[in-house]
Amino acid sequence: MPPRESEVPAVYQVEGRRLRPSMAQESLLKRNAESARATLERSSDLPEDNPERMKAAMDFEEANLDLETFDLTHDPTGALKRETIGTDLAEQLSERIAVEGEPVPDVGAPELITPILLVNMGELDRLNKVSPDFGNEALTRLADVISRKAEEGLGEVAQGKPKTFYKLYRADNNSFMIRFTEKIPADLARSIQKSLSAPAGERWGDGEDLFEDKGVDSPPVIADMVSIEETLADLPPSLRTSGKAETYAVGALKDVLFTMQDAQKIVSRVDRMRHAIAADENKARDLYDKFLKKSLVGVFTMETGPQAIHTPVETYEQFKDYLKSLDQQSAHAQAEIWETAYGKVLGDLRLRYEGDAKYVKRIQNFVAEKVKEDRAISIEERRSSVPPGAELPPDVPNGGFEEPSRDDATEGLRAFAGLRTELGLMQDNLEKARAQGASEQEISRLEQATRIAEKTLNREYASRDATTGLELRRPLFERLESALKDPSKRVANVSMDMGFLKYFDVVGGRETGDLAILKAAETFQQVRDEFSKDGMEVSLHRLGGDEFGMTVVGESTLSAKAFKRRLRDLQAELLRKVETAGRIPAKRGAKQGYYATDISLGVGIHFYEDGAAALNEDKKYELTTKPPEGMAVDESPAHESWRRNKRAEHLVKVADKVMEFQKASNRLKLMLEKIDQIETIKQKPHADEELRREEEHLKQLLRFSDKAIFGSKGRAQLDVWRERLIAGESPEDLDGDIHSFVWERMDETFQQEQSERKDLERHVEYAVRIEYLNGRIDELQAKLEEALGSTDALKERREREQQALRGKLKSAEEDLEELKSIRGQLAA
Amino acid sequence: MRAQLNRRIDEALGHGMTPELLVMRMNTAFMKADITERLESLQDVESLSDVAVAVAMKRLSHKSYDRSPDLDPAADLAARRAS
Repeated sequence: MPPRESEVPAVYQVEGRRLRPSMAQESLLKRNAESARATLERSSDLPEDNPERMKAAMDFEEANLDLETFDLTHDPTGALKRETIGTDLAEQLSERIAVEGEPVPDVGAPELITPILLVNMGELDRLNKVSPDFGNEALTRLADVISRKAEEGLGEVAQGKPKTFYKLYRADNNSFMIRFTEKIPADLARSIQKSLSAPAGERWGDGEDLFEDKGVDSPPVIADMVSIEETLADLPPSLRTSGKAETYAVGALKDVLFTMQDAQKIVSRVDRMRHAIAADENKARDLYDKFLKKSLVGVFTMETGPQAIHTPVETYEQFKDYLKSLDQQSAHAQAEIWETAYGKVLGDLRLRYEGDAKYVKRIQNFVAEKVKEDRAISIEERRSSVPPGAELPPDVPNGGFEEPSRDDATEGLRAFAGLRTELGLMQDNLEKARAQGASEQEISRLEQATRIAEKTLNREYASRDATTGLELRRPLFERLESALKDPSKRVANVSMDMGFLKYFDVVGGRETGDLAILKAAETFQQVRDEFSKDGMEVSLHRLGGDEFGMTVVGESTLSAKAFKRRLRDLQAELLRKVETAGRIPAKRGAKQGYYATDISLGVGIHFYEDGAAALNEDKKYELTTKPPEGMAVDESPAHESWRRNKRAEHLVKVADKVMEFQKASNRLKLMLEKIDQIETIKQKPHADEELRREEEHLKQLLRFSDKAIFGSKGRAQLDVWRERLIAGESPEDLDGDIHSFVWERMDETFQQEQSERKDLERHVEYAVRIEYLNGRIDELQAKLEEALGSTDALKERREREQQALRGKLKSAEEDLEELKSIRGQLAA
Repeated sequence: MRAQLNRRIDEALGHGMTPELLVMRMNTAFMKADITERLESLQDVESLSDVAVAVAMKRLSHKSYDRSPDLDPAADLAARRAS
């Protein structure tokens, strides 16, 4: 008899690529879910309202939720995701406060402590340049090394159960946090901390050397530690009874750890530069310009505090001279660097919490005390002499801004709200049943139902971004990859980048920043809803701070032309809607100088018209001809799924590049336009005030755009273009030049990168260029069609224009051909 | 004319040009034509006077919007190869 197709839903499939081999807990949850499913299947012949069957169904639902939530809350390295750190720490602290009540006044260093360690791996950029996945591999290895060393370090203290003593979290992009859940001897904690730090180039314990294999130095690893005991002892007395003690302590704990870590990073980077300069001057310059400059620039130019330095230390040469001047008094050089690094991070604390001088002082003192103990140096805040910003315009009305609802702005937030209500109802029912003395069986059923509701809510929280309720990165890839399974479907990725988020966050304060993000998400959701119809399905994701993404999947019934058209419309609608959503008003915590500002958005799109186009691009760019070692090219499900993953990745990468290209071009065009305005005003009488305002605005634009316009190169080029404007050209005459300029700069950056898959990266660059040219050709074609379709009289008048257009079209096509042939040569 | 202007704006947005750039371009056009109206955002297009709409349309229909990405791609490539 053929097996009956089961009506019981499947066990949750763990789809995230697991990089870490040892995931014992996950396997256990999976076995639980499988056995619960088997029990349910066995009882599926019973009537639906049979208590045994109902129980089995609930058991399975709960086990499956546990498995799914585990998958969603752990990152590919096997560490817990960062989102849970705050709540877990708060819980631990509040338990501790409840148990111990008033902490004992400081009676010297305690012998038993509950340590929290922050372990940072430096130079992730450099590793990612080796190959796209190498940084992740290194982090995964680090996660394993951390667990092993922590467990080895615990030794006998752990009484054979080391895993119950700590939890490992991914604290940020390149750091892990180990939260101990039990008290351990203080000297043991310090020796664990010590064992976890390693300078660049040092082997990470035994076993094969991941870095030696690739011929690169291992990155530096830095571990910092703070204990729950010291954090609680430092808690201001007024807070203890306020009910906010945990929130405060968690914030303080994180601030202390990250502040110390930031100082360590600075010193580690300086050390690295010192070694690099001694070894090979050219490589050192390269290392500085490409990887370390952005984090070291300005650190050593201080205007307050002892030994204020007034010479700028920004370029490689300046930095080298600075090191040289330090080394002349070598006895103090290292201490001086430590003091400067700490001075800088203490100063940053003040910038971050400008409105809360008391808090800043407290954390600064806390850190200073620790540093005095650990390193026997006294530190003091220093402030960077980076010039303050230009004068800001007076506040402006918020242009019809409507506050988005935190329960309703997006689909995900609506889901959160719905599940919260459901959980509330369940809890009420349970309480009612208890009060009415219901049977034990009934109570137990209601308890499980409440648990399931709670777990469903938690699963939903884990699968979405908390602020916006949008789906995260993984579902974006899942959607793209699943759409790529069907070669007749049309698939696009839209990359979106919110401009000036730092301005909202830093000047406007955290709440204003969150509001800007939520407003953007609400707008994206409206556009998504508007375009998710007539054979097109759009999904919306928050990928990180200011990065968002959309997937667009079109049915084959939608013509390729119509699909492209609708992508254009979608882009236009996104840009228009975001700009007309009103300016983000200041919320609590906003600093003086914040003024209501529009959200600005960068958009980049890349798409496959259908499977043939995907295959074509695949072939052209050799996206999937080099599978990783150990994978057979055999069209097996594993190979197929890897190929889909690569294609999806390519789609996202190109869209990101297109966005970068657009962003730089738009920013340059904007500034050129401002320059044109200024030149226009100059010719008008009595417009001094207007002139001053516009020049101020230009200064501001320049200040916020330095990186986007490629620094001094962009500024110099703007001066050249200014001359051409004065000579009578219009800004539009320079559009073509701007595109070329941006393209060349992107090409230069690309040339400097040392990627193993340079061929692939090169193709991404070309794809962007070709995409751009195709866009222009499309536009010209549309113009041409429009011209051809007009009346005879118009036809006559436009004949010359048409010819010119055809000429341009032809030369753009020739350019395209030319690029193709260069690419061919490169591939060869 | 107003509908045409809105269509032209959507076309430009569809190609990735940002609203702030379009707003600024139209404002410069007003400045040059001695029109005192100014746009704060694309929404304000609806309240522009007919004269301003005409000026904006002219600016956004500038012939160079039709040009290819490089001034002369073939010559550009040739020059780059020569260097």
